[in-house]
Amino acid sequence: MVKIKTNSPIVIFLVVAILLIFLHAVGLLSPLENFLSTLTKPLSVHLYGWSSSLNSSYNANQDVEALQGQINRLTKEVSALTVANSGYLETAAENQKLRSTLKFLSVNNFQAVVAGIIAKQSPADDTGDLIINRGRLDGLRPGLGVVSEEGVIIGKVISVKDTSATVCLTTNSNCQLPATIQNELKTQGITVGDLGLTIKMSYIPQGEKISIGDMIITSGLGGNIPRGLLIGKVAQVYNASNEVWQSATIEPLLNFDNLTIVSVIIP
Amino acid sequence: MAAIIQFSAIYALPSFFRDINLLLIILVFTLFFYDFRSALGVAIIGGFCLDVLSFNFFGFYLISFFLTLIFTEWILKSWLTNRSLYSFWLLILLATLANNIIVRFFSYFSADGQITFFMFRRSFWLILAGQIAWSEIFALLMFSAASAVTRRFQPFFLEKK
Repeated sequence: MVKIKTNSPIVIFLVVAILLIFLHAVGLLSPLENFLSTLTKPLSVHLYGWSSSLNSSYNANQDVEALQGQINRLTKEVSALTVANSGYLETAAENQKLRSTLKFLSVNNFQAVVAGIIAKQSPADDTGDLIINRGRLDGLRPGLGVVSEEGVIIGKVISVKDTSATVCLTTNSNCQLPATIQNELKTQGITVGDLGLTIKMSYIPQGEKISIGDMIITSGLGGNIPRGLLIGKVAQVYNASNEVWQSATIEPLLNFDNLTIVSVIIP
Repeated sequence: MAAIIQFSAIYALPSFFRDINLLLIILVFTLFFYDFRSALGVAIIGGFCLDVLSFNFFGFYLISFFLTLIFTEWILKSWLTNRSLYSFWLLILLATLANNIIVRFFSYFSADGQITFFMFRRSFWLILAGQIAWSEIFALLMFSAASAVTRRFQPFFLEKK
């Protein structure tokens, strides 16, 4: 007969582990878990910020030439946009006056919860999801949109704990967003991340005209994410004549590695 | 502390450095330089902290560290006859391999098989190679540091007079 030593370290470990898992399952461990998460949050935010800046400078040193080219291109783009922007500012001011005159209130009435990024999922997960320091207790729930400081949508909440939440990035294959192309026909579709680098929009009917540079925004379908948040711009269009659908590759407008603070939009 | 560094700092580093598995290195170090009981302590504290912080199912790290530790202890007791740098290198290599396989098995089954089996994915082998490289570098550093503070791991020779 097999004799089990009750004071064996393995038995003690198993008893403690099973007890912890049981207490977690019934929710009795929540106060301790919340306390631990809250306690470690400030340190986590700092550590993540430090690693993130290290990552940025490392990547910047990796391809200086590519960055130089990008700077030249962006400088030209900024000049063109500045000119265009002055026109838009005039239009916006005029629009504002008209809205006031007509008492036409169409202000986006949603709240935003500002959150700090405390971690990335481990490389073993292959997702690159972010973990933020706000959770269920702050009103977060799966499906809500997450935007950067600039207001560009970076992903959506996929799971929540009491004091933290996981955010999938728009470039991740597990992240789908209802989207609209800002073209004449306001083509609708679903965007999905592609290899953690770009975004793909598929199942676009052949008749729709898409051009490189068209902006992609959230369509607002589903109700969790408001319409009009910028996702990216079309970088490539695939429209073989023998295919029923065409698809587009969308370039994100931000480098997600540099993010440290985000906002979760609660509609 | 190691769990927080692993969770918040290491995974956000540039891609090559993300493969460092600090807790596993500490676990094997504790087993090799101290004893199995202390290593179990590291496994339960480190595993619990990572389980609380991460979004895997609760027990993911507790169980994976425990299984890795059992395997590593078996290797240490059954195969390795001395406590040399080569033994430590071999031990950390096998522990990293075992831990990666265990963790990927858990991830695969918790995803209900909706992802490609890890053995057929290039990323698995690349991450494994990166982790092994980092673990071996850390093993060398830790062994050198331990040898500097204690004579326990230095070789000795019996001389006939």
